[in-house]
Amino acid sequence: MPTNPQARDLTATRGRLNPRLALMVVLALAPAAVLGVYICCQQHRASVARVNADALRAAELVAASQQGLAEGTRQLLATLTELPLVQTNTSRPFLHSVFRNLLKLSPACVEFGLLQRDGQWLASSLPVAPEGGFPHEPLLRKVLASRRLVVAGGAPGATNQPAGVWFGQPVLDGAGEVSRVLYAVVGVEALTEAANRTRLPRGAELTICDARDAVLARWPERSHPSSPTGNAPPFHLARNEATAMEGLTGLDGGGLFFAYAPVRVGSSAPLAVWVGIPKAGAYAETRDALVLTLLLLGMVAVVAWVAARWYASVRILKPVRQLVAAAERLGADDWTARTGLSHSRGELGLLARTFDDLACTLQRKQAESERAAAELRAAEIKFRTLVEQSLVGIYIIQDGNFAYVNPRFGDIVGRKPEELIGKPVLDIVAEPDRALVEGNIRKRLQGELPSIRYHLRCVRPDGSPVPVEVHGAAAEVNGRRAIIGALLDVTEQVQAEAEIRRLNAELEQRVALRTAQLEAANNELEAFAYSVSHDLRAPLRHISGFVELLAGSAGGRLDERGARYLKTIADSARQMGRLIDDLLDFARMGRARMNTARVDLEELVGAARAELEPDTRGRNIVWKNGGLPEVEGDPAMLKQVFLNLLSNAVKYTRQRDPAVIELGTENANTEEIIVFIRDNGAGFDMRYAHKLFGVFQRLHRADEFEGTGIGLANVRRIIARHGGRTWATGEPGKGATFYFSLPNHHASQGTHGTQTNPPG
Amino acid sequence: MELKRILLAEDNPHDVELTLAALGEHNLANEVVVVRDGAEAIDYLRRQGAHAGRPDGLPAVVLLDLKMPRVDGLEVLRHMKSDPALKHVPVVMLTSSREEQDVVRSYESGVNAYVVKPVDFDQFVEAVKQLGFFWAVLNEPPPGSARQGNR
Repeated sequence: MPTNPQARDLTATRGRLNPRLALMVVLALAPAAVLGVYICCQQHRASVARVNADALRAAELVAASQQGLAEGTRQLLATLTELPLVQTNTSRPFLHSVFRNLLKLSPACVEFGLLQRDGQWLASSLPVAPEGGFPHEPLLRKVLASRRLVVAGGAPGATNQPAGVWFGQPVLDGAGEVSRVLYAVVGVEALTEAANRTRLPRGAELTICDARDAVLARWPERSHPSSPTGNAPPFHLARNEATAMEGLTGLDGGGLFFAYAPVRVGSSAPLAVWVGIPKAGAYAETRDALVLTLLLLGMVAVVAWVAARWYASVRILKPVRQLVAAAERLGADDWTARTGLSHSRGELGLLARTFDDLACTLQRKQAESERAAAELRAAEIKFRTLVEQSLVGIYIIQDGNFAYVNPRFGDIVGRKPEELIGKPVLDIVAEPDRALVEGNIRKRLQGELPSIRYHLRCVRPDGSPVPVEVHGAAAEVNGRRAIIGALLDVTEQVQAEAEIRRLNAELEQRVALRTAQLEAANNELEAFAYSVSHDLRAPLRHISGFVELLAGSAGGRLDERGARYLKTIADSARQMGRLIDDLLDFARMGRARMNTARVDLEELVGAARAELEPDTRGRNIVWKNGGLPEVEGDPAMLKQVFLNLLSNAVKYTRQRDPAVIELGTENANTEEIIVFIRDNGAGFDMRYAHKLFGVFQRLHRADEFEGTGIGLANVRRIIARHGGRTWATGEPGKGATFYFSLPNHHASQGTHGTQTNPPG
Repeated sequence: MELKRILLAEDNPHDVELTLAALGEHNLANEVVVVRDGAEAIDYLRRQGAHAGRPDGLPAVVLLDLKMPRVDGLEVLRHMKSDPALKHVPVVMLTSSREEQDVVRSYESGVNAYVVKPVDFDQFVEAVKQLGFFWAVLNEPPPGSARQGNR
């Protein structure tokens, strides 16, 4: 594996792990160490106690042996004082020999002597008296004072005397007074020997002192026992009982444990034994134990640390390294990376499982995201193609600048898209239209208009204007307000519109021309109609008039045939007059200007019926009226319609008694109003229904029903001019129904539902 | 019954004859002055030209045909209505035209009545009778009209 930051980190981790492991081992062993030290302390305390006890016992043993020696000496002296030779003998040689023999008997003693009460020396084991008298003045005084045995150390200041312990025993006369003083000196050698018989602990010091703390003997013999100099133990501290104490300093300067034991002779304790055991000796055992314990602990620690290192390396660092390696592979986009560790072992197993699960999830997510990215790319390509290849210019405006334009947009305004992006919109707008464009952009951004479509002129770099149509809408692009839109080049459209306008103008000119021609023709027609109206009627009137005058003046002279001829002439002239009048009416109806107003059809029916009154007089006619509405129309024309239809109904029901004429509306809907006029008159054959509304078309003979055949033609013409329809149904002999419809300009409908019967 | 003078302007002699016959049938006119065109009618009314020497006094009513040679009825009417001396004289259009524009123009020019001559002679007689009776007999003419003695 190449060295990379993660690997270095791992090394560092291991570097940090080892001291931690060591610390752990130390912490684990610390209680044992503390326990060991504690035990050692206890042992130390115990060994100190034991050493003290040993010292005390040794001191007591030594004291006992000394005491035996002293007791023997006392008893010897006590016995000797009973002897008369001692009490009374004054022979120095005799006494000397006795004492010499005594020395041989008592090897512990080195000297025996006898003193006068006044201190005068009588005799001793020594061959000659010592120079200057008895050396141990204090002993003598004490004996004299106490009259009892006195034991004391070496004589003060006497260097020629044997070293030892002095025993002074008073010799009492018969009166119980002290006459003489017997003394013996137990030699130091004897003391030492007695001490030597006692087994002392190794390295122990033994000191024998008198009551004044003067050192009588010391073992081992490092210095002269009589020398009071040196660091003597404070023997005065303990005097009466055996005592152990520590913290004192031995003669060699080392620390010692001391034990004291008095040597009792009678009721006094003239001697004391001190036994010192060096501290070093007492501590050595404890120290050795402590060193051993610590050594063992150290070895355990080393073993434990090595084991921990091995365990950490195998059970922690290796899996961690595998985890790190897997993580690095994941980091390097290797989505198949797995730890390869067993998932069942401990916390690292759990971690490995979690990691592997995570890797699985990541792999799945990665696959999904790659798929999504692929789809997104496909969609992006699709939409990009759509936009880039679009034949319509597409743009996005943000902050007054182009954020995007497609190639077609660039083509339209004669620039490359990359030249436009980021540039102000108004740069490509022709000067006069800039305010318009600015206003429209603002309106959309402010939400006044969500979308807009308008025309403007862009300008190409060469200054040529391009008419365009813009479809823009406000939108949000990348979280910011924007205007998106499409731009269409409408140059061709504008040209086409100009062409259309030109053609329209031409057409209008042509129409005007045609209209003028038509008007001219119409005028001619009117002139013709006028002529017909005026000039054709005059001769007819003359014919009619003069026939009447002729009939009046020459009627009597004419035979029957002549009279019939005259009547035929008059009738024909009258008929022709009616034809001309109707024809003129018809022509006039076509040309007359319509004066549209709100018309109550009910009123028109009333007026028409009033006009027809001469024709209906004397007839039995039942009028039924279902009610007619108000409509928009020309009142005069619509009245003519009712007049024609009602007069027809009246005319063709002439043979009915009663005649029934019904008016009403039918199937009225919102689009048209349908009015019908039904009669029970002559009716007609439906085969000829298409001829009914033709000009001069008649379905009945003139001698049956008079008429010119112009009435229904007029009705159709009027209704057609109102935008309505006319039709009829009928059956010969059963009656007819005439219908007309009118556009329903207002949905309102009058309600004149009445049924009336005229008088008669 | 006081009969008054009627001025009839009509170019067609047949119509003149028929009108006179109709008027005469009911004795409605003891004096009907007939002129044959509009110019002559104006001459008569203004007592000028051929009619300079006519008796004074204005007709009780003027019956005008619409279509006449030289000066038509409408022109005569406008002349009369624009002439303060003549504008009070009642004018009746007596014509065969039923054209709306003729009717409208006549009334716009101040005609007092408009009568379409029916083709049927009986109706014609009736119409003329009504006309003559109303204008020449019932209507009180403005001052200055010619008055004839009773007959």
